[in-house]
Amino acid sequence: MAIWKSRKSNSERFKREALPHLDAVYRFALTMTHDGALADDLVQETYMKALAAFDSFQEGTNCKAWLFRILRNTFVNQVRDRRKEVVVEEIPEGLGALWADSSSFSDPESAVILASTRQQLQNALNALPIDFRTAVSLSDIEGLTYQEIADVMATPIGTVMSRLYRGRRMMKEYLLRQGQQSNSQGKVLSLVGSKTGRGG
Amino acid sequence: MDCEHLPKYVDFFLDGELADVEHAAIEAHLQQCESCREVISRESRFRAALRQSLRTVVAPGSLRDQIEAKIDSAGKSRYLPTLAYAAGIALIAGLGYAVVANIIANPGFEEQAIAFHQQNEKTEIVGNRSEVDSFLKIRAPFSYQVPLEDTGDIKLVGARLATVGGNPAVVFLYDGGGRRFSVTQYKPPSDWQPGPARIGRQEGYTYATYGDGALVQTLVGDMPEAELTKIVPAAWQK
Repeated sequence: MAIWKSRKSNSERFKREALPHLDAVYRFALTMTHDGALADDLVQETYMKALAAFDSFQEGTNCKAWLFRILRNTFVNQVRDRRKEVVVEEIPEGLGALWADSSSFSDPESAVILASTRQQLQNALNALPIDFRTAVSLSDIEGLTYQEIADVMATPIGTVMSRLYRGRRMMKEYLLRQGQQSNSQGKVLSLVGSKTGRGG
Repeated sequence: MDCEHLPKYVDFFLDGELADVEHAAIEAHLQQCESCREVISRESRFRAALRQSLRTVVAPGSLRDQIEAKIDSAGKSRYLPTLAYAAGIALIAGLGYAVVANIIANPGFEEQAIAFHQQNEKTEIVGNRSEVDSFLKIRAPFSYQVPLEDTGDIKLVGARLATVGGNPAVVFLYDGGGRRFSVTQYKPPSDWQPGPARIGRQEGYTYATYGDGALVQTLVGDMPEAELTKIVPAAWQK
């Protein structure tokens, strides 16, 4: 019964290591697909692939990052199979110029950005090209290191840094425009931060 | 480090990607410079808002059930693939589930504590020690004890209720010099043997489990073992 025991303990160990990351994996699937049903399928496929490849997972390394890598590869292959656009590198019109500006936003601008609602933050993230929202979500929401993100995305670490930098700036620019539009329409924004309006 | 160069390092600083010596140089500058402190503070508030808002999304319970069932049946059908095809996948999957469910032991307490640690967004009360205490006094279904006293470096910042091995538990959230760690407190299992703290690493986190016959706690954080050990009360250190 040695084989039976090792199979059993393998799936048991897999559950222990991989299932606690389900929420994070699901969030990442939503970030990639923007669709609950597609995210469900993607997460299921990711876990089945991960289980099959669990022998190759190195204990002590970041299991969450490993699952993210499998998920992203699965997603990219699915999209490629359907002959759809995979990687969008172009910056949306009007946002590219921000790259040159290395200074941060002014205090009043930051106050507008920080007053964004949860939905506005979600929209701003969703509006980013896929590689940018992948980098931002892995870093700012899931807390991965640059090296772990580079491994998930199979890109050099320098590319990760520039995607993070540009992605974050694009999000802020988006939120700034949204906030200014809402303000000009006289809407009241709910505050995300508690100290949004103070002077520097 | 000076005001002119700091903006280039803001992301690396907040992402924890600088070498210790560079990190210390920025911290030294920030102590003297209010405008740079404000730059860092704005950026850090933006990140916090993003994380707090968007980490609230969790996987549907039905998805978790489906995946667990698939893992169980995959384990079984891989063992007897030929027979599985011959006898029909459904029959074997059904049998496999019953057998596996019987054999699999309860997941370890540390795994559960780590899972709670990761579910930061589920914190039910955010506040200082007395606010947390008054929240828990009404709601906690067992006699908990706030596991660590606030010190200059360690501060209780929140809590929530949970279940460990079918028993009620409280997850306490602490801030230790800017780093979050959690302490999950629960009633000990029947075979619990008090002794020095059990320290280990799993899923990229460090944990320490210690306690007497009445209450056990598992401390979880992403700091090195040596640093986490220092937080464990002296009575439970080796």
